[in-house]
Amino acid sequence: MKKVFLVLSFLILLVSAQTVFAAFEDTYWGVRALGMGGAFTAVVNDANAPLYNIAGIANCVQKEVTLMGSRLFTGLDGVEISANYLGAVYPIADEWGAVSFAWSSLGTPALARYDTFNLGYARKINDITGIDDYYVNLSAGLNLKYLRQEINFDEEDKDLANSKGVITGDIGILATFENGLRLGFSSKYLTTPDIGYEEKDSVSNMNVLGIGYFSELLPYVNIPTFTADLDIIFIDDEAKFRIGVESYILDDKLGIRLGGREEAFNVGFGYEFTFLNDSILVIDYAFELPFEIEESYGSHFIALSFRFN
Amino acid sequence: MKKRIAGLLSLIVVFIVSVYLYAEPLKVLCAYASFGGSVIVPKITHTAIETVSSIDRILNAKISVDFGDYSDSTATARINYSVDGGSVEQEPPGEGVTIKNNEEFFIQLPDLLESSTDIDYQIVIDFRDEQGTIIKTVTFPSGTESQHAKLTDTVTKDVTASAGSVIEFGSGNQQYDSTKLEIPAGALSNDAQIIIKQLPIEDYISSTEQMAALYQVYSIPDNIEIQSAIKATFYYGLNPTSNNFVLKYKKQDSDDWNTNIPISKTDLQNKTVIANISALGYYGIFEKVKEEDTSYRPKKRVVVKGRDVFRFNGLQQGDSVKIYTTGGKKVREINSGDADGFKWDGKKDNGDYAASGIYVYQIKVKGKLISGTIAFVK
Repeated sequence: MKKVFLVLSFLILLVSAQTVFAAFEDTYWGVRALGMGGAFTAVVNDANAPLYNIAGIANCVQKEVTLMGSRLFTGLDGVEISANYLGAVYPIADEWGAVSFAWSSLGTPALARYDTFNLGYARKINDITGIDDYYVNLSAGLNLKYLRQEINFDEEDKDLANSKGVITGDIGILATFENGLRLGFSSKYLTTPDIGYEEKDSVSNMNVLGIGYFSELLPYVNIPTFTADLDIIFIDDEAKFRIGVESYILDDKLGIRLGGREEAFNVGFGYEFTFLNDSILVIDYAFELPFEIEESYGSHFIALSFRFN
Repeated sequence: MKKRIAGLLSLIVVFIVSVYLYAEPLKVLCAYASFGGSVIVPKITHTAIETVSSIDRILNAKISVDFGDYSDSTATARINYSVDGGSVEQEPPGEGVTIKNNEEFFIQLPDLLESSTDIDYQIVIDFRDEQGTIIKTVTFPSGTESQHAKLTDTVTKDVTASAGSVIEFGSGNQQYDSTKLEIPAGALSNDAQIIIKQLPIEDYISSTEQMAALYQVYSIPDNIEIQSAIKATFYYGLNPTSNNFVLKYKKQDSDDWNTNIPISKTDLQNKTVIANISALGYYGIFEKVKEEDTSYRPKKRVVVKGRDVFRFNGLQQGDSVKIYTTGGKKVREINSGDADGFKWDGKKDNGDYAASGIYVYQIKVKGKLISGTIAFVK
């Protein structure tokens, strides 16, 4: 156990947070994660993992593809922002781990667009660390990322290229304990690449510590298939928090989620349809209500996921 | 013998000339024969335009033509017209517009000048054979007559109180309905002349409503009372772009448009609003418009740090601009500016520069919220 905390502490201290590049924050993608307010770093067991904590893909047991679309801040005339996400996980074998691909995009027509392409790999590392998996399951992974921004400059700024791309990477680690405790850590944009046009504009390193808990039946209140997560995001010498809970009912078919962060409140649900050969189709929806933005009907996110053997 | 041959040749020549000269009548005769004794000649259906609004100054004729026995021919339509006794013009130019049998079509004359007072017009339909030769021409009115229309802003009608009446002010644009009053029997307290007068629209200061048309309804003598509701149809013209209208009333001597009359029907097809009115006075049709907010929005939506700033123009003390990240977090609130308006230079409330990315702005002006997106780039 001490080794796990040592590794996590080292990784947190290793990096210094700066101003995060707003467009590459992960507050827009993964409908299940958004239903939990974006608190997902210690949950990560599906195709949303590549963006939240790459280590999580090592725990995926089925191949999975998820596709998400959204509309942000509906009800505001003149605001047309969409966030889209495509994630895919391919578990190879327990001893070989899993690989993933993910694409996320945030944009406003005729203004700007930000894309991230991720190629990930993760595996369980109990064998490497020598930690007995009877108490804790350890996994770690890394993501190779290509970030691209495309800006629709007007005539006065036409001397600037309209797009720019850089390569960087994430690392992630996940510890799931036998008693239900889950700890996740993800350090993103490790190389703080410069994506600036006029001046150096580094995509800042972003460190997220996730503390989670999973229970088949939450003691005392008997909530079935319960998951909770608290994410602490270290940015600019500040700490931001995200919190979320999830429970599956109706034979673990219907997932209900609640969550939030400083700026917004989230709810969501997802339903799983099982087909032949244990293939599963999942429909997820999440709604986010911003606290500060006025007269918005909120943001809507919907995803279709397919898991198969 | 020679005389006989000469006579025969003469007859042949006469016959050929006659055939050439009377080909058309012969054709009709043949048609007459083949249709068992009745010739169906082309017929123009058009309601004569007698008045054209001197405010709108548009003559748009609604026409349809029954081709009769010329259904196999090609037909074109045009209007020959003369304004204030001037030269005869043609619309559309050339051969005219190709028309179809019994199909309704419109010919609109170019907008008439403000000084115009009278217009004479004639609808001309030409039927052509396969070679393009005109084989038949029909007109409305027939022959060399022309239809006279007067440009006016007024229609007057004597109404007997016990009988009621319908008063119609034709705008001259037959594509849409006319302004009219359907006065039921007993609606007027006495016999009177009822007048509908169209007026130029007023400069009406409102951020949400814009006057589309204005009518005055009055009587001679002027002491007539309305004892039961009159169904009024008001044509609101071509300018409005919204689907949402308000009908307002004001008295003869009032300046305030503060009485709203319930609209029973807005007929977008005919560009009219219909309401029951119970008073003589002024009736204004107002288009509900979205406040023109583009003047407040920053024209430059992408700003590179140090090169420029976002400018929110036309704002005054008491207005505000808030800037949010796409995550919904407020980064800056601006409550004042200079002569150029309110500006955002990309800095957060704490003085540090915000990160590059898309931001949502919300302008609060005159109690209204205007939202949009901008991109700040370093």
